[in-house]
Amino acid sequence: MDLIDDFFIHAARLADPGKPSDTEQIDLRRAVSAAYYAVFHLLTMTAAESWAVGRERHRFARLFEHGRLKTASLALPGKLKERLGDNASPDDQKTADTLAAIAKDFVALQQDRNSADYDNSRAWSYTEVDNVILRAHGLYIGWNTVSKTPLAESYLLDLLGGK
Amino acid sequence: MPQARGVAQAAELQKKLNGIMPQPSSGVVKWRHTLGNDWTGDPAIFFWVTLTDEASKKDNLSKATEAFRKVLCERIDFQNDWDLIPYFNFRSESEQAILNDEVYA
Repeated sequence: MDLIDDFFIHAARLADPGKPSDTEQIDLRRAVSAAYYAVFHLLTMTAAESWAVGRERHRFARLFEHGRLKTASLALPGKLKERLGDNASPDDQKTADTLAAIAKDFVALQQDRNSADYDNSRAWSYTEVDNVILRAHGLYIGWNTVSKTPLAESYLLDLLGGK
Repeated sequence: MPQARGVAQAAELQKKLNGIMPQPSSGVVKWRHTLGNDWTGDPAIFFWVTLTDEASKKDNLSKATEAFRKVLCERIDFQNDWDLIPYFNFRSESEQAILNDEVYA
């Protein structure tokens, strides 16, 4: 997905301390936002890829809402336990652990993005922003290892807010 | 809506946190926390962690931040036991010396 890479490149460019800027705080805040949107679009576009009608996939991806994504991500550890049952294979357990970490990271990134976009009282540092970008990138790498699994597909459906 | 246990029994939670003091993982200079609400209004605990400049370097940062989060979340189940969502923020010692934010001080 070129768009996801572009978001990460954009975030890294904005958070590059080697390029002094008169708009440093704005750059840092936009970098946090870009890192979040990299993973937001990663998840929603992956979900939309499963939508059978190709021409409607972008519209499908827009059905996702930030609040529902948070609720579903917070609930994921419990749902994973239910879905795995008592006799999970080591591979399924590993997938579940990766997904639980992804969900946790996603919730954290949502908070960072909200703070960066709306809290004008906060001053960001390069380390804080690097941490956000690294966490988002870690999520991206983790997601690529599990995205084709049934557990990941169920999580994507959860993100829509259904039962 | 009932108050989160971590807010209603903040002193109890503080005792738990004191048990982890002073340096939960390497590269940590200082850490503080505040209680509040996150962007959707859920009760939350925000950690403000000052790292050494060395631990804050890009090559070391993930290791330092993951180690801190792991120690805290393994020792305390914030979400299930205290009804709080934990959020972690990290900055370097030299950045804090310039920005001088109260939450990190």
